[in-house]
Amino acid sequence: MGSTSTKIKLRTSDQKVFEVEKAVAVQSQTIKYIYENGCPDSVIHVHSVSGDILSKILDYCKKHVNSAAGKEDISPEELYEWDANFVKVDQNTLFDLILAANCLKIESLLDLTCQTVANMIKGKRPEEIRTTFNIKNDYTIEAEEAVRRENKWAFDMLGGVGTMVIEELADDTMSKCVTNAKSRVCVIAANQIVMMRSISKLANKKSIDVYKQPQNPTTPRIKESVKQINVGTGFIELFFHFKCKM
Amino acid sequence: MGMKTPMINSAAEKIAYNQDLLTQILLRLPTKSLIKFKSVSKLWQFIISDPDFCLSHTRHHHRNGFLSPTALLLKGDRFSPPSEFSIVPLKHYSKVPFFHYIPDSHVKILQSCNGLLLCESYRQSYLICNPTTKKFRRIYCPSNSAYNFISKCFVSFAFDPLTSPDYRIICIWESYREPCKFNLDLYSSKTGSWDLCIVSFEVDEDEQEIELNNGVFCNGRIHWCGYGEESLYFDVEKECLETMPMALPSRMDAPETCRYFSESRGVLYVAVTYCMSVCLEFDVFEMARDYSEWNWKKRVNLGDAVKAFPELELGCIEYYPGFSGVCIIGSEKQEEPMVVVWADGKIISFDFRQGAWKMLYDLGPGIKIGSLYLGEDDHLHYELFHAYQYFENLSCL
Repeated sequence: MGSTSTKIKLRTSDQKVFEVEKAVAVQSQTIKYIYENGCPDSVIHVHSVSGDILSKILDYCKKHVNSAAGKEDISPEELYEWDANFVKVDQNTLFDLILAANCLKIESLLDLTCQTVANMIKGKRPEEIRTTFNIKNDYTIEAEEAVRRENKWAFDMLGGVGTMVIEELADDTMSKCVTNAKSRVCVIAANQIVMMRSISKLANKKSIDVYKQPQNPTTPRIKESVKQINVGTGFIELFFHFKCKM
Repeated sequence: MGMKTPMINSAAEKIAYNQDLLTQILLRLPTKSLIKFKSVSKLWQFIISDPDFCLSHTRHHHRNGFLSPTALLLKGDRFSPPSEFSIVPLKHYSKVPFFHYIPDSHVKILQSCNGLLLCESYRQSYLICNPTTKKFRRIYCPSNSAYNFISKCFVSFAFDPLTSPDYRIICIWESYREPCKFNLDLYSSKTGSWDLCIVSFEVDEDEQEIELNNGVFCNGRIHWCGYGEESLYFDVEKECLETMPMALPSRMDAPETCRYFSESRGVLYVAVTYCMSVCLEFDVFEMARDYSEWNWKKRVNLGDAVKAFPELELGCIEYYPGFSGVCIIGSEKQEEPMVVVWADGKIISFDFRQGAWKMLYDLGPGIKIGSLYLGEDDHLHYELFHAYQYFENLSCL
């Protein structure tokens, strides 16, 4: 009559029933509370969670319970890797997992999934955020412009005087950078100086070379070529094909 | 307001409508992303600007009980950037908003502490500002008035968001009427008021040479460096002044030029440069945890940096070495700190654990950091650089 073999039955929103070990199920504070304060033999309804999601969540709980209890020989690094793979799911599933982890009160899973979403959205532009979460833009045009202007520095595409900044370029992407620099253009990508030229010199060229300056000065510089330059009044546009090999 | 509740279909929408869940996600975002996302909607701006959220966010992003700096802001004794900070990025590249949001014309940084800056402006007004949020507060030192015949006035501040959202400002002043007697006033941002002359002390300036204009805050105390036997620190909670030893074990047969005083992760460090015709070395000392004595940590040799980066011209010019701005900061991945040095227009760093020099920031061949603001006859080697730690953070004032 060991309590380790006690099973708890869970019924999901789509009427699927799961039978799980108590130790796994009570990773959820909600289920734990219901189990301890209700009738132990009855089925617990998890109304807001679907079968697919609950199945994934139970995988997570089982993995973590087993690793903590020493039933599985898994190092903290391996568990971290496992968690990282666990959240490699499509966006909708990820959001469903957040809602379920919140409703079931599984703190570590909520932390993991929220951090994953944070990492996913941190580089996005505000418009993309609105699309992702279907948020209505309730700013007036003037108000939005004022907020953007005040926080312009946090938007990376336009640096200050003399700098264009590109961050996190993916391999083989066409990148466009606009600057209104006065005299010098310095392109920085991933904290490395990529190119340094003065605008007046650029104006006469059809294409320019982009040098990536590596940390180790003895490594030869990598040369890329700029495909097109448009020089406007007080600004230039550079289109270039950038290969970011570290 | 008479609107029909919209049908919330997707999980994403449900999360966006659930302020608690949304907050959980926002807490985990880096500061720069949050500043961007103020433009998403009014609700997002409201959450991101809320003081409780800001405090939680700062506390969420600490590393082993300390905040880690985003960048260093460089300033020289003579070289002071007029319209833009001279930044040395430590993490990602980030612009740091300059003081354009402050209406004063000349704002000078005095001290940086866990995300806030203490600056001096005209007419004895001081400013506490957070460049990330572009907010500032103006403070006046009540003792610093004409009636007191102030001869000297030094201001420092203490701020540790991991302990408390409030900051304290310390004003130490001396009056012509009572030379060598210093008084200490304390301001609390919680009460918004000053307690005047809570401590008075006497210092024989010729003997002790304490640098009251350069306070370093850590361990709940503001410390000042000295060139004599002893120096002082102020315990902010106990509101009392204590002495600490300042005698350094002698390691070089040459007079000292400069002591660069800094702290990293609660440990005080001092880097000492020497006055010699050719000198590419400096010593780093570390204060014992119980403040009983300074211990010699390492003799750092820039000659090794020249081997690693041959383009550096570090030779002395008229006894002025080609390096300055020595600053000691915590390294991201390990307990041992790293030494950051401005060297001939580049920023290099020395890793204590690996014992190796790295190029931390280089603006490109032929371009020297700091040269933009010097006159034709000036030489960069004459300039003395200071580095202030900058933390991208949302702390409210």
